[in-house]
Amino acid sequence: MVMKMHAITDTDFRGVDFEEYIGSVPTGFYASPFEADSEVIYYRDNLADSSGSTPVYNLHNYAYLNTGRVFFLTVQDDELDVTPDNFANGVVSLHQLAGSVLSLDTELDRSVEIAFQGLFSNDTEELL
Amino acid sequence: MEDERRWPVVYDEEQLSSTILEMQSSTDVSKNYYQSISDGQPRFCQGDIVELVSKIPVIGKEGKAAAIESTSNYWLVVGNTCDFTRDEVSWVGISPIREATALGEAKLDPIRQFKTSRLYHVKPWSEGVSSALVVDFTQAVSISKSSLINHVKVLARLRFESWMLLHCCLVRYLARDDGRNS
Repeated sequence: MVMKMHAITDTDFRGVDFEEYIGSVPTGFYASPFEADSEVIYYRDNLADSSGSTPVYNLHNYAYLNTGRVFFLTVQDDELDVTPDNFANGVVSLHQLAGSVLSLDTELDRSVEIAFQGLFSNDTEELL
Repeated sequence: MEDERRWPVVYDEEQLSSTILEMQSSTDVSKNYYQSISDGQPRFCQGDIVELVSKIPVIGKEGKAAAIESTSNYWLVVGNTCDFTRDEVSWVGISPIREATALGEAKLDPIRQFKTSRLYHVKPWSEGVSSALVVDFTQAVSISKSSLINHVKVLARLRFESWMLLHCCLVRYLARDDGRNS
């Protein structure tokens, strides 16, 4: 099964500092799926409200992806139900997502390494 | 899923990964990877690209000192910058920069995105320089500091953000989780 992550995008407020609109999160954003392998190009966690202190609805994390800035809600492949409870219960740790993208892919690492070493497999060693 | 048999890293792996990504994505890295070298700077710094015509010295298959013919005369300084100013330090580490165009774009892409642990992409520092230059951290060798001073020319120097990216990659390479039980 192809895992899709559901996100709340901030198209409505694109270009505006998110913190100014934190109170509008539950109703001001709409949900759309994006592929799990979307590239994270920037992220920030521990997002606080406009007072700079209290996280709202456990919405601790947001990220800029190559498909636009998104806020994470759930990794479930269900229909998205935008409620405060879903925020509280289903919010994805951005570290989890970032980890899936940023952590070394062992197989990828290995296949690239093997190919690289293959380039120089015919190197001759000259004894000194 | 994390493999519990592997001995874990001792640093914040997520922080390191996010720093690599952040640095890679920063404008200073993507557009201005290198800085100009001025008189007030140290003569050598970690991350410098240097030119040195030399084979790659190794202890080879026969268990004896040997040398490998390199396709490139460029090297990356991996030794710590501080070591250049310390009299008690006689040697520093450098790694050969290899030309890897033949690897193909599909294999080069993850290297260019700094997703590989042993292979580090060296961005071209001037026009005409290959965009497929790769350092294999496993091939680091020692060079005497006096040899560096007398025989080596510095071609390019990293900006702070670029150096931080290299630094993170070095940490990741040197301090990976340990898979002896895997």
